[in-house]
Amino acid sequence: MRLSTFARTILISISLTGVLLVVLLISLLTGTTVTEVKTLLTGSVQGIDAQKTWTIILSYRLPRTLLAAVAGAGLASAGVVFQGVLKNPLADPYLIGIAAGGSLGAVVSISLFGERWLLGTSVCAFLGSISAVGLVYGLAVARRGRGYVNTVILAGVIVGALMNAVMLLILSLSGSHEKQRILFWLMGDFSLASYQQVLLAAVAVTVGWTLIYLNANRLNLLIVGDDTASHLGLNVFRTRTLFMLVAAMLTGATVSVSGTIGFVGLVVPHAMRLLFGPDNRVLLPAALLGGAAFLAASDCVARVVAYPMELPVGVITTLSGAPFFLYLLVKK
Amino acid sequence: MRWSEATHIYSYAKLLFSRRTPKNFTWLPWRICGLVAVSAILFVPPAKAEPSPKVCVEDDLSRQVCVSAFPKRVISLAPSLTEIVFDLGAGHTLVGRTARCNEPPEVLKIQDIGAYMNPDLERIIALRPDLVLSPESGMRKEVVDRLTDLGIPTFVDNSRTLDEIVYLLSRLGTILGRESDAKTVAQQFRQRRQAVRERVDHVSKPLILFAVGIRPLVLAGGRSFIGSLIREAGGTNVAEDATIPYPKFNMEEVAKRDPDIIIVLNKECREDECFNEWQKHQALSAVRNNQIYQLDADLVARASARIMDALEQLAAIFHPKVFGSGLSVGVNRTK
Amino acid sequence: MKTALVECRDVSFGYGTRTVLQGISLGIAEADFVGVIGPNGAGKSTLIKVLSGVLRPSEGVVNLSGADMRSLSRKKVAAELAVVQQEEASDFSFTVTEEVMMGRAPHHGGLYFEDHSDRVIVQEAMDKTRVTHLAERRIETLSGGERQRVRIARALAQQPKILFLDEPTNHLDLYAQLSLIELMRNINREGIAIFIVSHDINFMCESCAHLKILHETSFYCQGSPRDVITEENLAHSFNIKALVDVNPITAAPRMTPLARLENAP
Repeated sequence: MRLSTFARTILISISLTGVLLVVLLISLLTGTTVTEVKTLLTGSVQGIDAQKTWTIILSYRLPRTLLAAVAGAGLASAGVVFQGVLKNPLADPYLIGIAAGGSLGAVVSISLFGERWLLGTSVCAFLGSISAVGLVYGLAVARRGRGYVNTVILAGVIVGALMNAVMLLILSLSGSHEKQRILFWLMGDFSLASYQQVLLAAVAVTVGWTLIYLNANRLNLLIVGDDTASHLGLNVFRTRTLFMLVAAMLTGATVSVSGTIGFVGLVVPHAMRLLFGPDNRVLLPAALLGGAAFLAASDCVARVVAYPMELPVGVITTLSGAPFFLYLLVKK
Repeated sequence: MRWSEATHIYSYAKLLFSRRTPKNFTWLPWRICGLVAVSAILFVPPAKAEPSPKVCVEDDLSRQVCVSAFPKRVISLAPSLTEIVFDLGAGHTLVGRTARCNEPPEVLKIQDIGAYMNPDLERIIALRPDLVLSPESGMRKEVVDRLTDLGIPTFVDNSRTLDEIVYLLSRLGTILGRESDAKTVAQQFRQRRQAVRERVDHVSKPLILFAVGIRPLVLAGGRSFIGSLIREAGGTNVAEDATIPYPKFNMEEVAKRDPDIIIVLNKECREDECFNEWQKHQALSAVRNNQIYQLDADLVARASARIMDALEQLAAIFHPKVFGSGLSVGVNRTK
Repeated sequence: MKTALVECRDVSFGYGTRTVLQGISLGIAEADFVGVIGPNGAGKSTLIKVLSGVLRPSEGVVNLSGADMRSLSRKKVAAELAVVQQEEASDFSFTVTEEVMMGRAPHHGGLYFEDHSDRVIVQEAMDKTRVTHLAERRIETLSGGERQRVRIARALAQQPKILFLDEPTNHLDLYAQLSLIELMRNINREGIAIFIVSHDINFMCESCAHLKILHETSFYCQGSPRDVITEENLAHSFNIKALVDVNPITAAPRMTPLARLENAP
């Protein structure tokens, strides 16, 4: 007898939670020597050194690992939703201009305030992402009726290109120092995460994901087709608007704390779908946990590979994600 | 018509009709303006020709750069080079500078030829320079190549250490006809350097963190110019082992190495923003002991003669007991 | 007289300035088996969308079990009225069971996990449509006929009082068409009203008890297949010359197209 969907959801969630915990633990201990771990575990305090190890883990490694996990969870969940709403298993949360909007916001903030207003980068990136989606969605609604998906994708590409052009314009007029900061931002960075950021991002992801999950069956109907969904009792327009807005907020919140990290929102949902099928009741928790584990692991690699220098985490996600994705495509 | 003018007209014409026109030069109206300019120059009455001897030096791309002695229309493409030209007493020969050049104050009267690292080739050529001084890092090689192709002597500088600055001074002195000034400046340079060296030689070297970027954390590594200044001023660089000049650095490792002194650049932060940002890192002794200093970015980032001021400021910050309050030091803000 | 499940009076609809339906009135009661035939572009698919509440008529009212369709949520409509439409392309492939289970959506909220009664209903629908043996297959691996049976099973899982079918014979081979007729009869026998639109005249003659011809935005004629399918009516509405005789086995009218007519009479 085949397991019920409920049982599968619970089982998959539990095992992926296990995977996530292992990844978090490995990430937290990577960079600490065996002796240090022993000291911590046995509690045989060797004065300042043990305390220093604790400080390093608690004030630097833990918040960045947690932020990476939360951002990964948010991006992957948003990816599931966008792939569903746009009916394209290869859609990416950045497809409809969110990344370009966020980047533009961040670049504007960096060139206007420099490092004088550090939080400004996050605030402006969030506002940029949301306004990009607002613009795209506004265009799609204005053309309400047929061809919705195409309108969203085309408008997204055009709005994205527009915002990219403005961003490049600002970039070309800014100094070398700003350029470097912008470049790092575009490649994603968790290195100086604070608990405050973790908390903000975690609240956004929890609220957003819960709203989405409470509508998981509706997302299932939506991906079968608009007419079918309508005949099965769905208010397609209203549901789609809800999904788009919540997923955009989720992505915007993630982008604002982490920069534009590519491939997480594309590869994780797709891989989870290949493993567990397209049912969003199973897929949403799987993507949440899988995305968290993937990005936390990527951040750990970015931190360790060229130690004590840091690599941009976006480079790691793309370098590991792209070949895996190609393999999946070919195998399929 | 003078030879140099003919060269310029030729250069301009070549640029106007060249296939490899730069991006910002594809606009038809500009071409027409250019043609008008070329014709205007053609009608300038020729001056008497004075055969002048050639002077050659080797630049940092190992190329021989030759000028007729001595250049009267010099363009500098970097703030540091502009400062050096003034240090050598050849400021009056400068006809062009970057928008970033701001020292000494009289430099602002000179026409600017576009952004630092992104100069306007057309404006450069219109100024008919007989020598262009360009930095290597940050400058697109195409700009240098184009200027050289047009027959404009272009000296490329890539000084990264204090020794290299001294060498640069002597070569620029030669090519600008300011050899004695160059010797004097170099002499002072050496003396001040020696003075710092002697005083910091036998004292213990504090561990220095020099942040050029805060979010993300980018440090001046051992291979950067600032890194060499830190060594020279008697400090040990937290990022001495970095394999690139300005690495994005791991904050954990900073906490482990625990620097004694943190230095930030004034451009990075408004008011107390940087200090507040560092206050979050109470695990660091430098933060707890209030050893965070702010330095003028223009001062340390430019490989000019003023770099000695930077060196002395750094040394004074690193070794307050040795230098006392005899030297002006960077601003140290308290909480 | 039986109460009408779906009823409309003087309903009109247009896309922009183009009128597609005009002055349409009809009533479908419990256990009715009604078909609408008409040439391409006569507005058959639009009629289904208007009657199922997906499109709002520009004039007139559509009632579902006596209530104005406009006052009902999509969910309430779907609990009484199921539509088997032509296939929509999707890049996401569910299993047959998952697909049929979606028919339970009108009876649940935004997030639910199927309980025992849902499973019983779905199993029954799959048994009736003979797709039980395909339960774990993915939709994309099925044939056209099998996919249609899955769509019908999903509609049955909605437990509707009335079932709409839009061009059900498209892409079906004859074997599949015959099993479709048998399936629809079984469903109808249980009291579920059936309303089909199609351009496949012989199929409709064999299956429907009552036929209407939709011609240029309104009904041209209606009645039993024997009354409706005449050579004159076909010439008028389909613009063809046809031979109409009687199927000796089923006694339903049978049409053989002979030639197209250049000008409508």
